[in-house]
Amino acid sequence: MDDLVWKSLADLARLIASKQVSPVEVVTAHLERIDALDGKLRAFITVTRDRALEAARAAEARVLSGEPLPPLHGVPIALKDLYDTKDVPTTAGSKILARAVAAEDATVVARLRAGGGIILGKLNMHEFAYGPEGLNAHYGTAWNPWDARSHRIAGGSSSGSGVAVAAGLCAGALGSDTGGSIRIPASLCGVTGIKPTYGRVSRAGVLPLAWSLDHVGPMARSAVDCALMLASMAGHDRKDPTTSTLPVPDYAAGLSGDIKGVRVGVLRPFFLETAGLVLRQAVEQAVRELATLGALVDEASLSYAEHGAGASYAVVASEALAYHEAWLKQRPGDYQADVRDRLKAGAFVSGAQYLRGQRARQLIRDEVDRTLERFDVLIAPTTPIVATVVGQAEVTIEHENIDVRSALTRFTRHFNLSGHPACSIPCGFTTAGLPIGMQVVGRAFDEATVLRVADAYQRATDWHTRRPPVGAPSAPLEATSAG
Amino acid sequence: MLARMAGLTPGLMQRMAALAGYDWTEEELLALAPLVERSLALVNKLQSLPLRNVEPCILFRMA
Repeated sequence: MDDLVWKSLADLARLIASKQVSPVEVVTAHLERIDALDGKLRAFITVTRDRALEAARAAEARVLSGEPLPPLHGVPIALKDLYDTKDVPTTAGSKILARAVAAEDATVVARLRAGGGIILGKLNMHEFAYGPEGLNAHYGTAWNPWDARSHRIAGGSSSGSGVAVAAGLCAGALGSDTGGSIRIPASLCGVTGIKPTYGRVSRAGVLPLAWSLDHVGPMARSAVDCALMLASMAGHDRKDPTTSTLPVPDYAAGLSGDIKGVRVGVLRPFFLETAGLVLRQAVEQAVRELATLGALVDEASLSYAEHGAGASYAVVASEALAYHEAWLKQRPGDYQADVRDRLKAGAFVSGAQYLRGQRARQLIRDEVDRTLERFDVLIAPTTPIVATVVGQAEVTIEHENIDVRSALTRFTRHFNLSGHPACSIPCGFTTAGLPIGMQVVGRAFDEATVLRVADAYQRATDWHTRRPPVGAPSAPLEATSAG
Repeated sequence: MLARMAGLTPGLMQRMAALAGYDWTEEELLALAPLVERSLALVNKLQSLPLRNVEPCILFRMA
């Protein structure tokens, strides 16, 4: 049973389709693991045990009937608690929405169900997705499974998604990403996560943080698995007018392992050069690996990178406050303190400043587009730091003191502003066993090349196959908590 | 007494909050001031960009 929770999504689908394992066995194994570990990990806010088992039994019957099966048939997945899920609370990690139940699924949830996915439950997150650490005062902050002794952040806001995938509590998960919230927990939890192009995946039924920066995407333990999930999720949705009508490729079919001649641009100024030394070394080694695989590597730079923080702030602060205005006036005390303060600060961004951010964004987007005329993908660290201890407010990167929150989003928010697809994959570990992530960024709507590069790297390395100590037979669950 | 910030006075902060419909106390504004100051400094740096003929990215990549 233990082996089942570590199978890839692709392998599980294949084993189920070939009747070597039953969906009931697979779902049961995952539910048992959740029971054993989630009291500590707090990856889940709601576990939909009965519904999952019911769906597993129905999936089993369908397998036995001989009917054609959808691509994710019987595979257990979980959803960041931002996605409307029919008849199940969608809390957004908040007290304010603790009892909010949607009448219908979000579009991507419905698509994953139609694709055969079985939903295990709703995952923990930074309240209202408004934070890159993954803190949650109402449901408890998720525990990064790579440190069994100290309570480290999982990264956010899709903290529960990162933890659940890393710890084998589900085969794949949904996250969302407004300034890095898929890629940051993917990096800090040693898993793979892709923020697709803005407009590639529907946001209908997903609680917004900032409408023009929110992206929906999958998290799993490999690029292959992300490709499978993305193929089921992506595509035009008339309920979300920002979605593209461009056809959705068969992402998994394109994962040939061949990246000979792929032009890779390494983002050194601002990106690599300001990351911690160990992270820099890991990404540099990963780039050498890509060159060994036949990629053509050269230097790249984005001159507007330092303005990403200002542009992102102007847009997010304004749009988030607009969404939360009524609750902030009526129920300010029901927010956790850091989210309340961040929302309130949005009141001091003028309309002209908001538009300045949106105009800067045009420059940023155009520059990334131009740079990706010379290259097929760009490479950068996902974050300049690894997972810090919960409660740690500042971190030192080489000789620079910076607050943890700003550090975490430094390399990711640029590609929310530009809207380009960006995938985080594991590319190493520190000597303390904490994961390091690398970003692969591609042209708009070219998730296929991004995933192909990520997959080729994962075929040549094994970082993404490592398992965290929490939940290992030798690792006790008791630990000290720093926050 | 709120600390004076470059370009953003305590009185201005209170008036801006009131215009937005928020009745925050001096204590609340004092707690917010460092975050607001740091964040607006980043936004104000955008003024150095060549934005004259650049439209805002509001209709975003409709394809």
